[in-house]
Amino acid sequence: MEHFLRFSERYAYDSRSEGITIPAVLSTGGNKVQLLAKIDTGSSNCLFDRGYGEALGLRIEEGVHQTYSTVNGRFEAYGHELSILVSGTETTTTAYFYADPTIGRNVLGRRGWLDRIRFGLVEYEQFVYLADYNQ
Amino acid sequence: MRNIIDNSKLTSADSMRRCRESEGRRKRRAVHLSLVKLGSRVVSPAKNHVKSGRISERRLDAPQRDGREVKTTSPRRLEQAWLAQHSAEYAGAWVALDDGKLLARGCSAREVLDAAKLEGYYQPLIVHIPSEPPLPFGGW
Repeated sequence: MEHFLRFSERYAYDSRSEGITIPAVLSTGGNKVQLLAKIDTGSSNCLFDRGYGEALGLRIEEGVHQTYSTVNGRFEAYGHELSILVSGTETTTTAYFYADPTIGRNVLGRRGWLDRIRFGLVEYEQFVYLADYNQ
Repeated sequence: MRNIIDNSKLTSADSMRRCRESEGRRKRRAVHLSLVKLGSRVVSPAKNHVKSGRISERRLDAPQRDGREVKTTSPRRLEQAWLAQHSAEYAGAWVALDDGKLLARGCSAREVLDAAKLEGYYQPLIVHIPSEPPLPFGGW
């Protein structure tokens, strides 16, 4: 039995970067910042370097506190409501910023991003396919 | 004797202070003639780049749906190519990039974003370049 999915966007990601890296725009309160983030199906939430939150004018520690586990430890982060625009798809979600300023990995994870879109990946061709889930 | 720093104890201010110290050492080691001092901390090579009132290429290419412009992000290919070439030179720094050019370098996203805006670039790509080349990611 065959299954078909329909996508509105296709993005050719850069093979020189570690991970599947895609440009994203975070916005809140009229402020915007553009960054590069990695698509991560293993991450529960969307997580960003706290520097981007500070650039958006957020007080990081006033957000929703969350502890995350990793393969060899744990880290703390704070959640804030914002919009994430990736390719042509914009989602509004609670995204988290690392408490530790030395963590710089920006991640588009399951809750708040992957659960709002249709997502296809052809690693052999280095293409990511995206569509708003509701379209 | 080595100085061992527990990163989990670092605050954002500690991180910025270390960045500024490292920027100071970098400046003493090498003088980048192409870089122009902007303000007290941010260096920018883009002072003479014409940008006020310019229409960006991406704007002209903005996709349309039913005759309306659709919100979308730029693929930022030029900026990613710049990062692939220059990350080692700017290790540990925050940079603002646009049109494949370095607009500003500094110690925080806010600082380089503000510097880029002063230059007339309102939506640059902001990147925190890792201090060391990234290792392959182990996932779970």
